[in-house]
Amino acid sequence: MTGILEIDSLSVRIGPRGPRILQDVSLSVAPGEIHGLIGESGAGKSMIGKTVAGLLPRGLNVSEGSVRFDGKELTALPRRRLRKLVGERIAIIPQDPLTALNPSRRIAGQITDRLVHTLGWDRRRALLRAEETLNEVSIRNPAQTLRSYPHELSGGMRQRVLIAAAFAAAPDFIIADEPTTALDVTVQRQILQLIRAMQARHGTAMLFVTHDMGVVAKLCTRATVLYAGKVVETGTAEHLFGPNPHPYTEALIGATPRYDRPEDSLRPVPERVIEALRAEQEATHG
Amino acid sequence: MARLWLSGGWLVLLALAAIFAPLIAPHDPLAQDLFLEKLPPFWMEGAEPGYYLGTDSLGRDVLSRLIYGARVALIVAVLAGGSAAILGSVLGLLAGYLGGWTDRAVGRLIDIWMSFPPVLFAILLVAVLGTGLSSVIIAIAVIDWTRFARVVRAETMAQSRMDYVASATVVGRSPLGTLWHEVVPNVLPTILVLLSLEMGITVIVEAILSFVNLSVSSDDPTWGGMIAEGRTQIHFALWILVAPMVALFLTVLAFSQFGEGLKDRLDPAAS
Repeated sequence: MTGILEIDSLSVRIGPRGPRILQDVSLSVAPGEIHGLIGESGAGKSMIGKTVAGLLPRGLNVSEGSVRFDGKELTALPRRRLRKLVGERIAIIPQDPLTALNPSRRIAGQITDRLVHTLGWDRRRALLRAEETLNEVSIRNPAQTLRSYPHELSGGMRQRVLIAAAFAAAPDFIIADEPTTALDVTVQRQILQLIRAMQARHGTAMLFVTHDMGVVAKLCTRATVLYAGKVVETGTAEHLFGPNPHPYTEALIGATPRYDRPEDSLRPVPERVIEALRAEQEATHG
Repeated sequence: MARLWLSGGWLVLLALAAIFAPLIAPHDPLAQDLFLEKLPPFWMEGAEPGYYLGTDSLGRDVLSRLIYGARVALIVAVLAGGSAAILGSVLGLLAGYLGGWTDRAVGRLIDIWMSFPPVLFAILLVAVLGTGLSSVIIAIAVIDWTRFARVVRAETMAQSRMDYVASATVVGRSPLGTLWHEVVPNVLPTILVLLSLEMGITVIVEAILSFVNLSVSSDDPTWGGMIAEGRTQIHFALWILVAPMVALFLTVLAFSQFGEGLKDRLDPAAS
């Protein structure tokens, strides 16, 4: 099976000989699929997205493996070509809507940046598209929103704006980096529904980074579970939530807060599961 | 709010007085009249009409000298403050945004620079460059750029880590384009606030340098020069000393209060 994004035995290191924060990661995202990427804090979920987008922080490098996007090898591309390719075809829905919008620029400019700078549209056409897309993400007054500064919008509104900005340029691939983490719970629900609706309408393949198994259940066709920079397992949502997922996956599902049993709503991942997983990873990755 | 208006008002008044000095000043600031020396200001006994703040030991009108002195003070504030701001901000922006060896180089330079005592450094520089207004301006800019560089560098680093800077790079802006369009507008309020504070400082430094006679030639009235002269007459005519001190005090206070007011006003989240 060939996906639009194929990651094969990818390792990312800190410095030339430093520790590996991603080790031997393989995953494949099929066209039109929402692929979940789940793990605890520090598992390296966001780093995979950053590697694909060429946004690895200074000092981190791909040391082994390959990342192919639509048949093109990204790790071999020079920085400038990678930026161009990413700019034209891959969009990112960032984690924190508070820092993802420039506080001193109006929304209009920030939504149309990609259309104007990367795709070379003229400004008027880009603004029309921006307004259309804001309509699609159910913003009631698009024209006024376009004239606003970020601080005039609520967190949920800002995340809608960022989703609109991601979809406006009709990208082939979207990396959603925990897009609901910074929002409160009721808004999270709306944003998830919105992302699902937008994805269904445009058929865009998506890599959805999250630490919330509930989100995977609601949204994803398939998902990859990460622990300590290594893949635990990849499977369809039916498999992960089915009778026999990997014990760690099962523990993660168990750790999701449950409001229907308040006396026992928070269950940590049991120590023995982690130990067994560590031993297993030692054995396969060395 | 009141702070911004009061301090801004004083500064505007001062600027107008400086620009229109020849029209406003009641007397020639250099005209001496030894028959009218050490006249007291208008509310004291023995005051002469037309000499509102009295005269100095050579019979020169204190008010006129204050007004002309404002010219030197403001020219130095704008030019020296502005040059220090530009020099320091450019280096701070580059260091904070590019990081790596640029940052290390600028950082070391700031450390070395700040280890010189500023006023001695200024006196030394002026002594080397020769006295005069342009030397004073150059000396202040060369010394005080570190105030801007340090703060702007830190602020730029914080801004550069924001996601919108990353997304600007992804949509294909060049690094310098990103710096200019995404980072600079968010650092600019900080620069303006610092500039206002810096202008207050430059007024003091200029006064110090003219006090020790290293600023403009001693013929031209400056507040520092007036304080130096007034000091010798302190037992006979206090007003010669007090008038320039009050002008200096109010101006420096106005600059710093204006900076504080700007800081509150320019915070986009607070407005």
